[in-house]
Amino acid sequence: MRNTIPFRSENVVTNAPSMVSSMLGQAALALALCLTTLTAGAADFTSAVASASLDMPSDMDSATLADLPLETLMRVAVTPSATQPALAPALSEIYALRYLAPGVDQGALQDAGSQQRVALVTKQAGGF
Amino acid sequence: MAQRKRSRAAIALGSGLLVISALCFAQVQDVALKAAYIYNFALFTTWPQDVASASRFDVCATPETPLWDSLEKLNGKAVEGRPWTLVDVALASPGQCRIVVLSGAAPLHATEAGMSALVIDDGSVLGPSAAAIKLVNEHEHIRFDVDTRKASFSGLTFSSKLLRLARNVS
Repeated sequence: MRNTIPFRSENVVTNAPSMVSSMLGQAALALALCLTTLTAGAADFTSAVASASLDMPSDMDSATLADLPLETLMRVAVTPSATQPALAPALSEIYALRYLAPGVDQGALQDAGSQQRVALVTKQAGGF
Repeated sequence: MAQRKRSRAAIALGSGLLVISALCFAQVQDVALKAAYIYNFALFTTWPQDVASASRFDVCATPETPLWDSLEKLNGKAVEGRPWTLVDVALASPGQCRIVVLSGAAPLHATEAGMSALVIDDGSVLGPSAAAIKLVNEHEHIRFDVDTRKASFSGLTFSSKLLRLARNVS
C-alpha cells in the first residue's frame, strides 16, 4: 500500500486569506513606520530625503552623498549649476545677432529700434 | 520568532526602497553631488604603492572653486585607508596631490604638486584640459567622461565598473 499525504482542500482555502492578510498587514506596518521615520525628521539624512522627494532644493551635503553608490548618484537630479559654463545662452545670442538681425553689430546697439529688434530675435532664437 | 524576523526584514526592505525611490526624485546642489562623485572616483581608482605609505590622501583644488566647501566636508573620509584631506594647491609640495580638481572659475595649470595625480575637471573648464575625468551636466544629471590615456600618464587605472558607468571612454 502506498503512503500518501492526505490533501485537504479546505485547509488551503481557509488558510490562504489569512496568510495574505497577514502579509499585507506587515507591509502596511512597514510603510507606516517608514513614513513616520521620514516625517519625524529624526536624522538630517531622512529629512533631506523627505524634502527632496517634494522636489524642493535639498541641502543634502557631500559627505552624506559620498556614502551612496555611484549608480544611485547618477539618478539624482541637480539644481541649476554653479559650475556649468555660461557659454550656451551667450552663443545663441551671438547667433541671433550675427545671422538673424542683419545690420545690428554684435553688442553695439545704435538705437532703440535696434534693441527692440534684437530682443525680438533673441526671443525667437530661444529654441537654439 | 520567525515572524518577527520576517517583519523586521520587511521593515528594512521597505525603508530601503523608500529612501532609494525618494532619491530618484531628489534635487541636490550640483557642487555637493560632484564632490560625492569625485570621492567615488577615488574609490574606483587603482593608486600607486606610495599612497599606502602616505599618512593622508591629499586632494588639491583652489579655494576659489565652487566645489571647495563640498570637497572640504569630505575631510577625514577614508581612501585606501588614508583620510581625505583637502589642500590648497598653491600650498602643496611637488607630488603631494593625489587628486587635482580643475575649475573654470579658477583655472589651474599643470603644477608639480599635481604630478602623478588624478586630474578631474569639474565641468566648468572650457576647451581641452589635462583632466582624465571630466564631469558633465546633462539633463539635470551629472555624467562623466573618462580619458584612460591621460590617467595612464599618471600611472593610474580605473575599475571596469567606473568605465562601464562613464558616458564616454577614450
